[in-house]
Amino acid sequence: MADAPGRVPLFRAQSFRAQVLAWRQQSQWFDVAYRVARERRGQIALVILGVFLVCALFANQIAPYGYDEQLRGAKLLSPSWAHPFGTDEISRDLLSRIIHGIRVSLFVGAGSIAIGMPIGVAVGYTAGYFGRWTDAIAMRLIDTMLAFPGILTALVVLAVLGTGTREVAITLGIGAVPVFARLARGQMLQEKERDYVMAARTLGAGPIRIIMRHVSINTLPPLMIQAALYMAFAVIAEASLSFLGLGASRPTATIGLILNAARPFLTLGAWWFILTPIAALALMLIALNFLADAILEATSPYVRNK
Amino acid sequence: MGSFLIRRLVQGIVTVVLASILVFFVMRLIPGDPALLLVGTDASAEDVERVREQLGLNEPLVQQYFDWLAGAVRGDFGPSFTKGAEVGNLMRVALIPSAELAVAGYVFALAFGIPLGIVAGLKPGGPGDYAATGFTMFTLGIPNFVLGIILIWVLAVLLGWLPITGRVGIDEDPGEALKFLVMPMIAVGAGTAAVLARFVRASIMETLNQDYVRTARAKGLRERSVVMRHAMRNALIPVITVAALQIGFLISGAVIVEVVFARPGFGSLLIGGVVGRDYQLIQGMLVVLVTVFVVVNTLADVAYGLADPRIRVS
Repeated sequence: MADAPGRVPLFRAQSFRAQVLAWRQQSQWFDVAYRVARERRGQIALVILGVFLVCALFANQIAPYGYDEQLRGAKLLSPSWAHPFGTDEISRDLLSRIIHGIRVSLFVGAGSIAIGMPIGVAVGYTAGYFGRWTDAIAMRLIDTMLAFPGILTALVVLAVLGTGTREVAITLGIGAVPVFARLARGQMLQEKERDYVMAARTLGAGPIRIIMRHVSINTLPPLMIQAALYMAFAVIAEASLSFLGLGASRPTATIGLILNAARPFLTLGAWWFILTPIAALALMLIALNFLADAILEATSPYVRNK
Repeated sequence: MGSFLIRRLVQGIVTVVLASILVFFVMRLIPGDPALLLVGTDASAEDVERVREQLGLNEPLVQQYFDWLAGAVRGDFGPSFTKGAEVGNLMRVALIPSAELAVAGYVFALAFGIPLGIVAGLKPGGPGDYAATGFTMFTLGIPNFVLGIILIWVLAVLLGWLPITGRVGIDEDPGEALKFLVMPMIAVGAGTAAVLARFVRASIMETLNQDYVRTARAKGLRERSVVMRHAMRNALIPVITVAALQIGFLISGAVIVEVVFARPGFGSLLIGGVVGRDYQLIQGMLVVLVTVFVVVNTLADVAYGLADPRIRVS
């Protein structure tokens, strides 16, 4: 039976495939997402991050208990059906605390990217496109910021802002600026010599149109990879800072705070107390690194079109 | 080579000076009066004013910066606002345990990461390659301070082989000092070792595909001399830069690992400074750390230039 004219058939394998192909041709985003979803590592990453994202968004609904709910007679219980991850030293359900901890980790990770990436990329594109003194000034500043390796930038900014989860997110966002700026600048330096930029310029396109419409599309993959990797760094940094007492304060649940609380109980054999937050953290980090790998595989010209 | 050296040196100095300006002025954004912090809240207004005068806090900011810089160059970083001692002296005391840990961690990273990378790169898909990949995955998921906790749990609590936390000076009892150093050293160095292993592996694999390696094989050299004399030398040159860049991250990682193992040093001092918002302490320490980082990178660039003549020209 022929389909009525003007209607897209929903359940016909062949045309669904055709539809996916059409979407892939229309949108580069969809194409990259499609390729990531077909990589083994991409699949693992998407499943783990998907579960964690649901946990983060609906922490209050999913967690069986409140993150600070002290239960009667449940001090340091080992894992059971009632408490799959066991309980902590003041009778709180660890599964619930870890679900809320994942929420903090992802909030800080995503928040730092949301702050640092747009600013960094804008600075990098501008410096790369205009060159000369704009570039010289921007690069000096970026190099100076990059002279504070790893978590040291965070310590400087936290001393000014004070401690707290939001402060950590802002701090790591500031730390992301030079990272993205340097990458975006390098991409721009490469791209602006290409013929298509020349063509756009010949047609009378201004710098903003060239950057936004033409160059940015072509420099997206490396920036997306960097975003996944920086998010992994931010998750580690948040855990480290709250472990050190510079992030969220008690009784908030974060991976770092749970680890810090668990440390004295190692000698008492409370293995679940230490292993469950470590497992959650490791899964999150491996998923983010796999995602970066999968985006690279999906967008690298050498393995594309295979 | 001379102009290359001078150019790199000037660049390094500019970065350090800019970093010191950045730290100095950002630290001034910290709310609160350091003079009040120093004398305590129950001091009279005159006392506070006297201390402000002594510290030069009434001078214009730019003047304060130059005064501080002039002192810093001579090793005088001013008094700490919270620790009741000179920042310079606090750092001198903290330096030995921290340097000990950083050096040990770095030696571990080089001694473990580079051979692992070589083995993996010479036989991709072999057991060494699997070991390297497994190790890399492990360090990606387990950050240094978490590795520290795991080491304490396994080696100290479960097996009882090593003391849990603390430090014994190398000058007091070398054997005992080493026992305390093993776990923090691995925790600090493992991440760097993984980065090095991965990089060395890629570098070796690339080099083994070069034409001159094929030529060496074609003229009938033994595999050992092809690898050792022709491939290895060229493969390890770019490792210098990566190895040097890692030092910064190693030092910043050591800050946290020190706290995990309750070792005295820069870590606890710096974190105490951040918690107490003691900007005099923080800015002194950060300028020292940045200087170390920049000096190491400059030396690495120079070494790279010496090892590979093509770099000097560009």
